[in-house]
Amino acid sequence: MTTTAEPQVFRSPGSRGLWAWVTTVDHKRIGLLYAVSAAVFFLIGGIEALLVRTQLFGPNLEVLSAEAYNQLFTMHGLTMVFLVVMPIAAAFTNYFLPIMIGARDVAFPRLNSFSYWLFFFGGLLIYSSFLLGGAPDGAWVGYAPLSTQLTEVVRMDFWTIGLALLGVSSLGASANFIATTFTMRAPGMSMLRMPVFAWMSLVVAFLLIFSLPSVTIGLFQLFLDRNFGALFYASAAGGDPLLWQHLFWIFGHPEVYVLILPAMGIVSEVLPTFARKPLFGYPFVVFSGAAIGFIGFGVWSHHMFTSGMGPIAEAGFGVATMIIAVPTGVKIFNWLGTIWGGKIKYNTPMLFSLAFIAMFVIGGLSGVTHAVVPSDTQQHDSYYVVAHFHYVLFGGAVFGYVSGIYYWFPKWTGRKLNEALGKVHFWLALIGFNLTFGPMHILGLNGMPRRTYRYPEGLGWANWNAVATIGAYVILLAFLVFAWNIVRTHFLAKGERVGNDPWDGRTLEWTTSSPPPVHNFDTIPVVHSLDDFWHQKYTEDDEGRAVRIPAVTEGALTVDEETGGGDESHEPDEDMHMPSPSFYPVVSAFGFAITGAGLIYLPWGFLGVGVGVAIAVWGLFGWSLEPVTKEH
Amino acid sequence: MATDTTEIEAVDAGRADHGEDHIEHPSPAQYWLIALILAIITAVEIGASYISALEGPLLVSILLILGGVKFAMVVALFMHLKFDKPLYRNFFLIGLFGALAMFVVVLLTFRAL
Amino acid sequence: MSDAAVTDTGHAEASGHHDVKPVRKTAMWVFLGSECVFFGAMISTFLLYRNTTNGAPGSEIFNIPFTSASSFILLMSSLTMVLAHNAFEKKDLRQTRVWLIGTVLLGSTFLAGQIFEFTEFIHEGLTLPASPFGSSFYMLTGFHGIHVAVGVMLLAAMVVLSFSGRLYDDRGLNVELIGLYWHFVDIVWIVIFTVVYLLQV
Repeated sequence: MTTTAEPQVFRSPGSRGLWAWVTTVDHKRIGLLYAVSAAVFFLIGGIEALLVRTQLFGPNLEVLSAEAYNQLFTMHGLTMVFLVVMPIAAAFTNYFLPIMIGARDVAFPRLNSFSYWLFFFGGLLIYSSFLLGGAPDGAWVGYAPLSTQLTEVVRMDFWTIGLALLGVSSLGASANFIATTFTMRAPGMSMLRMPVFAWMSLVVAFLLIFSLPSVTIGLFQLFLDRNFGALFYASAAGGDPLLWQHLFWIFGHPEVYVLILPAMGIVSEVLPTFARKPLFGYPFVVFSGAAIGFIGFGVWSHHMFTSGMGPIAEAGFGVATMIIAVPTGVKIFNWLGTIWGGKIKYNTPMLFSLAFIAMFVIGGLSGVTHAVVPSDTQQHDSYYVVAHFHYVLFGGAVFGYVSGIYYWFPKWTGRKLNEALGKVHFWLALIGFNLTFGPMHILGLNGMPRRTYRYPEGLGWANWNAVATIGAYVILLAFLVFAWNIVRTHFLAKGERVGNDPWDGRTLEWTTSSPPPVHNFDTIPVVHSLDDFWHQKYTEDDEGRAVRIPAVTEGALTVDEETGGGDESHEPDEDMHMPSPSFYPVVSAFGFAITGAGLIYLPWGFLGVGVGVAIAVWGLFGWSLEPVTKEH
Repeated sequence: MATDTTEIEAVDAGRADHGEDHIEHPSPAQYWLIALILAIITAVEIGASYISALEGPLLVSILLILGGVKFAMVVALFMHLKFDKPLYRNFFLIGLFGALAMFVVVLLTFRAL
Repeated sequence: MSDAAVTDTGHAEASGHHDVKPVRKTAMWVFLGSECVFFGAMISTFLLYRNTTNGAPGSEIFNIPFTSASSFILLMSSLTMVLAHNAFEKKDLRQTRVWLIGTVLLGSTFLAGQIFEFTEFIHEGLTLPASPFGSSFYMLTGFHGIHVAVGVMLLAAMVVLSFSGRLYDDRGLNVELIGLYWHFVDIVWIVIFTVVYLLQV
């Protein structure tokens, strides 16, 4: 990180190396930490998926024990949802939300650091279970009473406690992003001038804030049932396991939008940039995103159509689920409208975004079939459902995030990822993905249940399973190419060096250097319109074509029109006091994690709880009492 | 989701003039009065729950209404939501009514209401 | 819970905007909105299991006069809290301290009452593993109690700060934010007292 000579940025130097990363409160560094963690977990979760697929390659195989299989599919789901897609979304939000709205950091930099470290320790805690008697094996949804009955082992406690920690982390991050968006926008950056990605991050933050508490309560109830003899889900004593499904899905369904909306935001940034046209119907994209979030709270029971809720509830939730297809469809049409007639550049980020649309439409359409209750009753817990949500979450969300990585990699590192390798990655990923998950539709409709350890010969499932497993290895190959591309470009420094604005972008992050300085902007920009940076670079001729304004150099900062346009009055802001690094957030997060670990091993774990609470309280007190910016 | 432009302008305005515009909060004497009203309502609630003639839906509605009045008074007057930015009110009300709506539906599916 | 304690200092100042306060207040209100769902889930669990007593004692063992007294105490702690905030705004350190201490005492009394009530109930056979009714009752009132305890600790920390003259340092939490949290804990109890106690007997 370099500091420019002028203006002066006061920021205590802190330590270098690893300690600087541990104590960092810089939103960009925290974003990168999220990204690297997500990449590591993506590798682990991918290996788990490959093991599962290998077991299912042919009938009656025994590559894994049934026990190991249960642990692997549970951990695959858990990892991909909570430790890969959520953190990669958090990585993008952390890095770009403040820059996109013209702020110097998030509202609470130390809370941001705390959120990251709590996520990190939570993930570590969940994965430590592999070494401590076995990983959680009750599926990522942890349905009671299966999850409450395995009391002789601690496996599902790793899951309850781990998820609770991740939940607190997400709550902190979400409150932070909401406060940032509502209070720290640059002058002129009204809500309807915010980039769509910032909007989608805001909607996601609201979804998490209002849905996580529900599953947190459910997790506590499960924990009390498992460890203290509570009877929330004990049907013999009058408890009702269905309550867990409600509490879980009240969170779980908005969670689906938490995973997909940031990817939609990324696509809404990438498409206009490479189609060289403004986003078609910006307010519609924004409001349909908000509508998806809002309606998303009213559809949770469509996961429970086979639980016997009765025809009225089923009809109601079925209709609500169909309605949610409307704002989603609006977005699809807006994206198509955006690329329609554009001068499309087919580079890697664009290809992934276009594939996102196609794959997401397939996943969305199979989703609508679940809204039809009689049809859903047939598909429930079959491979058809597995196919559906992988089309949405892999072909949808993951492709969107990969597109974002290609798009913003130059901003992170100052180097472009290699285009040729990128195209190899793209085509392998697209083909591998469809080979893997396309056949699962057929398998599901032929009756193959999900979470199947082994299947006999003669059911007609063997061939499609073999195809799916081969496809999974093609995906592996694709992502190895991707990993090599990143290593080559960044770590071997062979990537093409680029300036501030390699893609001729539209949003504020392209006005600052690559990578951005600690303080993001020398002068806080003044925003005059949507896509402000674009309008500084281009004007329209009589026929509505974009014409470059010659005077403004690439990456120039906003010049206030009233102070005389062309005159480069680059008055840097007064001295900026960036927050000092702090190790209290990581201490507090560590205390929380130790507390959680102690809870898993009750009763003697109470010792750990005591130690953990003491550490957490020390961290929180130190945190509240230390000044934000230390004197020199 | 709090997209009303007036709120946005309120946020912007709040930022421009370095802090909050101070609308008069109640005075200590008024706070004592509010507390007195809250105490009286509580007494009425407890009394009502002992009157056997009120059993059933009537008692339930009386208690829910009185509880709601107390709730609203504390939120509006002690927590200053009546005087503060509409933004805060929206955050809180989304949570409150969202939770209410969702959990009423949950209880209805169990036929427990 | 401790989320309230992790509210950071107004970094907005560091980035050129000078309105420190609304940043934290915005986050606090978002947090309170979230807490509505948190308690909503527990209250609905209780309502679902309100009659599932499995032969163990149910709502008939509630001691309404006793709980009414402790509810009244918690309600009045909201008054002392708002008076503390009022004095804090007027920079009246002595008055702020007096009302803060009053709030701490009332909150502690409420907690003591709750501990007494729990002991009584356990003696009469209403325990966490006794029935789904017991499980949901203790979880709901227990979590509320933890919230009160956290509030008491935060207020006590403010009292200590007031003696070292650092109450106005504006680092992390301040009297106003803790006040919002405290009133919220009070209104949750208003709901619990009505729905769990008065409506069930």
